[in-house]
Amino acid sequence: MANTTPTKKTNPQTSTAAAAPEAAAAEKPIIQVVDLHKSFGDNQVLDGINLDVRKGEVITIIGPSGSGKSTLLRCLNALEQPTSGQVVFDGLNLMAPDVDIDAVRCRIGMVFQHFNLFPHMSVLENITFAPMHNLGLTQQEAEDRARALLEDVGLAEKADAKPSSLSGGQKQRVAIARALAMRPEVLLFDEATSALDPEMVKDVLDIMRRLADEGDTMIVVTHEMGFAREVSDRVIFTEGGHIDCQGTPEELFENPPTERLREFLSKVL
Amino acid sequence: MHKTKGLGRLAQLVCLVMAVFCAFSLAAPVPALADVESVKGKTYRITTDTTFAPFEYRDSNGDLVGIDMDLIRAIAEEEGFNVQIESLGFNAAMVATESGNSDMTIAGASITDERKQTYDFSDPYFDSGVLMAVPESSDIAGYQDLKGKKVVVKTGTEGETFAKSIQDQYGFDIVSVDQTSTMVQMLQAGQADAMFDDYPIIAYGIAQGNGMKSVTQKEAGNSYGAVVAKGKNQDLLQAFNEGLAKLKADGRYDQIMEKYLGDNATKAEQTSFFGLLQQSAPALLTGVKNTLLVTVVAFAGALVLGILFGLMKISGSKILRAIASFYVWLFRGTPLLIWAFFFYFALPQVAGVKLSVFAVGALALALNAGSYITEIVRGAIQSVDPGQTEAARCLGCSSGLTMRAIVFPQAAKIATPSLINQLIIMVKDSSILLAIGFGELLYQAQQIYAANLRVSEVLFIVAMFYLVTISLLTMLANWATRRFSENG
Repeated sequence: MANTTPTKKTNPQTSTAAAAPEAAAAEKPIIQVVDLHKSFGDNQVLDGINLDVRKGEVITIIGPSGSGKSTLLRCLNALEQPTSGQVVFDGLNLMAPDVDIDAVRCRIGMVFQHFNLFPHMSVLENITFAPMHNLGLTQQEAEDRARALLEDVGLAEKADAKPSSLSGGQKQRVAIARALAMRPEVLLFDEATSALDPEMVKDVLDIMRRLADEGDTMIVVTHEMGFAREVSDRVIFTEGGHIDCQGTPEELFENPPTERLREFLSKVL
Repeated sequence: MHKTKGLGRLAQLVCLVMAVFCAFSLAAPVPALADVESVKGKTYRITTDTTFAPFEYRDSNGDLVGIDMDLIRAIAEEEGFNVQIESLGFNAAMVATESGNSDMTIAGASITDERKQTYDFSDPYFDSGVLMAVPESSDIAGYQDLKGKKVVVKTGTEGETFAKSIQDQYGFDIVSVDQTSTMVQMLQAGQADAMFDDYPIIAYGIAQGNGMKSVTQKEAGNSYGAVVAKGKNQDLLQAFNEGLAKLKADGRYDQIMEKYLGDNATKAEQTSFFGLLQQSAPALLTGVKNTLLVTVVAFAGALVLGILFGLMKISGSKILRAIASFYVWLFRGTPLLIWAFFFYFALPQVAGVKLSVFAVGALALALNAGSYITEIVRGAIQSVDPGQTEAARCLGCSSGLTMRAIVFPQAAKIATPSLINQLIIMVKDSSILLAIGFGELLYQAQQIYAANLRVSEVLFIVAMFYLVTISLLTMLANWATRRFSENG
């Protein structure tokens, strides 16, 4: 199906792993993307994207470089301003001039390819900073939360280290803990493993897999086809600024519905 | 005498600027009737040259002495007023009096019709004239031997005028410089063959053993007078004339002339290099103190300006960006010296604001350095990885909080080496303030070599003082940076 219409009927129910929590929250999408266009100068990067994301859904976005997958992700928390179209988060139109975008971003976590840890703060401070300043947590509350999260990602002993002393994989696990400390309703992952050495990739993917299993709503831009296949409820394949096709991992990987996807998979698998 | 043409080019520029402003703001001065009695008990600001021995110079104790100084002090005592003397350099002293920054200038100023347009002169107190000097070993025995030679004169002086008047007749080249000591140095180094200057200057130098001799008779020349601004301070002028007449009548005037020009004239002691170092150290340390003080105050101001305008440069507002760009354009595109002159000489006339020489120096230096720091701040903020801002904003931080807590600390670290560099540049740039008579390090050095004529040695010593000062300052700045980044 080489069109941009969301295929609501076909996807979430068919996936097995996260079916139960998803069914309960399936009525109303937490994110709705309507006819999204984005161009940088003459370069049309997004060319009419429509997408609904339900609570608890794990979506991976795959596609060739320059197909607009990162730009799409960055529009979801208004890090990029679309040229036209809408992103609606929990009923709030993010493009509306009066929307409190800082409050919205407190509810949407993001993990970057290059980690973007704050180099002048310790690992613990990186994690406690936003909850203290933006959620009003006391230092004690924020530190308790941070230490628990560091425990979860296996870096409890690095609390007082500076980010510069960490390996890439450790940095990314701290970055994930930092995002989780805000207790976000949606997590965005922008090629979170692309800058890592191969042996670090697994640590990070394991954590992402665990989050997916716990029922978090996640939108993951990735080149890791194994991860997409194994963890996603729905896979979206972007090509030339629009959604070329989407469906369950089985639908897309076993029997690619479009020629372009077949071509893409033949190159990356 | 020397300096007949009046003001140097820079000062002329300042006067031009002032004239434009004054045309709008000043009414014609109203001449007041002189009342000699009214000066009693008052304190007057007297400005003078820095380097015009034997009329004014500093002795080995750093005290201002010379014919002018002894005269004005004796007259003040005789007439019952007080003087507060500042040595600014000739042009600066004259402009200060014209602009109302000082009450009177006594600096061996020749009485000329041109100057009478702007100033009122006292009765003449000295008859001068131009004299030629050549190195002791020179074969030159008169003007006729100057053909093809290089003659050095002081810009804007009667010596220059005279040299030009006989240049075609005798066929020599003329080089104009700013200071007597420079002329002497050029002759000693063989870069010039003869110099023309006022006879008392030449006579004093020869008496001090500067290695020159005179081979001709002095030319008849102008007389020197003290000046006040035209139509102003007539009481003071009258009192000066009255006092001068009394000194001439009772022989004290002759005593002063004998003291500086007679056969037994006071001589500066010729000491060894280390003696010179020891002698000049107190004055140079005062210079170091003033240099550091003005630099630190100006640097603090420049930081405030630089951060303010640096933020404006990256702000979303077109107007703020334009204001910041204008500031940088204006102060980065104009010499520090012009602003120092402007604030010191023109501001009192334009706006009625009189600032101390320190305030003017700090202000000019801060505005100048602030324009560079603006660009340092802008560059540092923009070189912080945009991913840092994105990460903070994605965690729900406002743009203000992101700037304050995430971008600034990182930008500060990036900017620190450039800021230390700027601080060091400012230490050296502050030497420009000697032009308005601010007593910083190089100014102190000029004072010393103007009196003892040992230019090379004094400059060598002062270079060492700069090196030590800047080395210590750099160490201090690096130490502070380390402390700052450890604690931050």
